[in-house]
Amino acid sequence: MKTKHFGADIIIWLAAAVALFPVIFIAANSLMGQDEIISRYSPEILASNTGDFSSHNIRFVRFGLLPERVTLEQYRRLLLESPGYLRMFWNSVIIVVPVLLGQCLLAPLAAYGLENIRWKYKEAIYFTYIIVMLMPTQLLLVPNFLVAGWLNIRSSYLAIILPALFHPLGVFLVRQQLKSFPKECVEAAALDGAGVFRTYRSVVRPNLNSTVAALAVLLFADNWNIVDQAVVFIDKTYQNPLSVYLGNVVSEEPGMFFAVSVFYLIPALLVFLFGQEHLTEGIALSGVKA
Amino acid sequence: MKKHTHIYWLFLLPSLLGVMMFYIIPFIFSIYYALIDNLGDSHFVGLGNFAAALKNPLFGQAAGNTLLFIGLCVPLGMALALFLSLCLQKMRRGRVPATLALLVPLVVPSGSIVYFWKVLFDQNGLLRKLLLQTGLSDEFVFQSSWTMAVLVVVFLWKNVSYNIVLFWSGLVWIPRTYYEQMALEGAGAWRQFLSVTWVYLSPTTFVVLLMSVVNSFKVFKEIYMLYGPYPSTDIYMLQHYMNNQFQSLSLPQMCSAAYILFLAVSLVLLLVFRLQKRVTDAYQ
Repeated sequence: MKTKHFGADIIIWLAAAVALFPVIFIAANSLMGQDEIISRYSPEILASNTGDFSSHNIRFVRFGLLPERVTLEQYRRLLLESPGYLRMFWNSVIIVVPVLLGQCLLAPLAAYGLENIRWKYKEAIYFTYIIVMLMPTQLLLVPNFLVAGWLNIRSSYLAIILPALFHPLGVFLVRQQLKSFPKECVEAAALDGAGVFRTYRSVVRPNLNSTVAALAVLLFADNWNIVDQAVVFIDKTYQNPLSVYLGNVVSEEPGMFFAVSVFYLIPALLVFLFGQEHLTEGIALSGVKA
Repeated sequence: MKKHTHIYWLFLLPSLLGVMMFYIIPFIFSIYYALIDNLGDSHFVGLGNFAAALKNPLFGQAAGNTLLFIGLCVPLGMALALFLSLCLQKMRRGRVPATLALLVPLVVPSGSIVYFWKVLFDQNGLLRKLLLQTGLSDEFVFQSSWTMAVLVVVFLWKNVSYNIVLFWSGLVWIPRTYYEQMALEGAGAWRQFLSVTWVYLSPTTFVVLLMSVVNSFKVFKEIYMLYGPYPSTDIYMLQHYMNNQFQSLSLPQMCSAAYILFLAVSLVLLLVFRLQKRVTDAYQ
């Protein structure tokens, strides 16, 4: 019996190692110099890598985690000499922050409203929300694209921000949580003479904090990794969020890619660590009878 | 208190207006574009655009690739997640830090680790190097199914942990006494899995199935990062087909394709919902 548990432990830790390995790889490689990156991974046979394994006239990668010489050269070039990348990082921030703030304000409000209104078709509203939530991004982009044309915001960030702000995921998650919310608390507040808004602000909303935190982590992960929407709406390179442009960095400036990646990854990891205890709850909530 | 419920509409209103304005109304309106020939003449052509899309070989290719991808990564992802969540349940200590590590891929931006996958899977990558060094055949790297296999691996790495948490949250609801009862009756681990875990996990399994299908459409990010806006035809997906319509600004083609996709996805969702209802009814 004991060995069996041990086996499960090993499998999970192996899986955890697989999950973490790519991140460790880019972090380790971000401490290498530009020359080392090129000598390690270029398919061409160069003066610096003639000893490496090659076959069919292509040179193979020299995979590794330990830099021959530890240097912050990549970071120095990123922070001091690459205003373009910093600008794109800032573009990502401009898109993520309003979406996050808007969702965290509107989603609990709407979910609480939906839970309490009395109308025989209110579940139809909720069902519509769920259907929208389940549709692929490229499909939702069609209505987003049409509205953006009508409002004349097609080449502005608003075309990405506004639909993301109203995406039904938030309302869905909070409502799942509200279904198990103790009605007695609300009734007690009402008996004490608190109005509807007062009850929401001081009784309901504080109890939804962990769900809203889970929502924030999920939304951040999604919108910090925005690709599809930017490909459709953004036509000038420098206006792209960095999430899209990272693909170009690989081919254009491989010697700097790892620092740019780590730089872009840090906010996501921070938000993740900050909200990790709520994240599992958030995902579990999305599974309670979707 | 009951008479005041109208005020709750005020809570819902901002969100409802937003969803109507950015999703529902334009989508309903887009059926107009789907039924005309072009924006200049605006001749009504009925289902002409739909027929043209369905006859377009690119559309067929994209639909085929998308189905193949879903058919590969949904069952693989679900099986892997179920296995790992069962291991997680058996774990004695360190479950919290292990789960944390497993969840990291969920927040890693697809672009941040694209170089890692290239170093692993490219023509001069680590995998092929090891194959050649050990004297094994490297033929399959050149086959058309190779890029699809790479995508499945990349996708599983990022998305399995979501399913693990879903399965895990279903597993903790199964009372331990059910297993003890089975053990008393002399049932082995496999019997216990089939008659307790599998049965009581079935509602969760449908949620995982649903979310897996939904998430599998998100693979566009990874394809775009690894192969750029014009990937080879082996991984040309419906998402790329839609994207081409955006680039060419051909609203009639775009909207008719969107409706075809909408019907297809709705059909899948309906099927999953139906199946779920039938199975849960059978067990209750």
